[in-house]
Amino acid sequence: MTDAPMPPQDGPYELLSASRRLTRRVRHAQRGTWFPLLLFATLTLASVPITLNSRHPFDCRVVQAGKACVAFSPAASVYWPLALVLAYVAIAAFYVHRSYRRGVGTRIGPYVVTGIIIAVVATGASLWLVTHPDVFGYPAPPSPATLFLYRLASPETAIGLALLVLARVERNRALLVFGLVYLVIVVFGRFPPPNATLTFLVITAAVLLLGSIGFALAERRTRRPAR
Amino acid sequence: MTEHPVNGLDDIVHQRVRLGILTIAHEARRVEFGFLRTALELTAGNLGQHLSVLENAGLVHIEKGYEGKRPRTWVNLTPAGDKALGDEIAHLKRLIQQVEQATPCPPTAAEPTIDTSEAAAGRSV
Repeated sequence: MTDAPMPPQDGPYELLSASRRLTRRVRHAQRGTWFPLLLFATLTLASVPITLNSRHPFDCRVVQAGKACVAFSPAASVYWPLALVLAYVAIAAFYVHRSYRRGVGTRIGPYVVTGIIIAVVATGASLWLVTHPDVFGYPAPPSPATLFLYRLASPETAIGLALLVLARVERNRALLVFGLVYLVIVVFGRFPPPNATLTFLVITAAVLLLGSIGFALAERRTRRPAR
Repeated sequence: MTEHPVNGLDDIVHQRVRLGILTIAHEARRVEFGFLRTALELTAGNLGQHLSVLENAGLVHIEKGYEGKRPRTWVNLTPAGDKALGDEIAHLKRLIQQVEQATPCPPTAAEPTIDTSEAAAGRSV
């Protein structure tokens, strides 16, 4: 050790400040939130004709008021798991490509793996709910708790839950808030008939699209002064 | 009596640029030479010297390769580098704590308050 004084820039306050600043800079460089949001908005919009046109009554029963049926869309139950898995592969490719271009590694692995697991579990749960309506008192009209379960097992919820994982991976508080708001809309939002499904899909797609635009603008703004 | 935190500081890590390299490599897992140079505002030669010091100490691993025809150098943090960064951050925090305990007056503008709960300084959330 020498008797030379410590350079002012190597003082503990300055070193910790610089570390914190660099950490933030890396985190900003790693973020690409707009892409998954845009992709999921597109997939949700693309699901509208599939969901609405392929829906048909299933397991119909005679009730006092006439007939009760479970609505089921076989095409949507194939479309969503396939679309979600392909979307996560595309998201992984996007982040890896960006990582090479920007020169910083990516931590996207846990998001992609969790997203695929949630998508598969949600699809399984959704199919089980449709094929076991008696468990929830069918043919009586579904209770709010049953509707909550149906929404919980929906692909839109699967997207929202995975967004929370992405918020954790990117250490992105804004995305955490966005993900929670999106989940509240998806799980608790009630839309009036006769176009409840269409309204639900359009609103969720619009929320994702607006989120994508907002995050893209925010990323652009934070990158500009760094150059 | 506990050891004064200054005694635990590692001369290799306790330096602005080298601590910066370790912090970035920790956060990014893998970082390219060009990103480090821009983020730390250094010349290629200067950065190369600091990287050599860290590599010789076993704190980083340097991979050289090509992306198309363009040479690329990637820096990875080794487990020893990860530990050295954690130790340095812990020592710096203890040092600040001791300084603040010794001087009850609030920090001046030249001594900005650090949010030590922020994992940033080397420890990720």
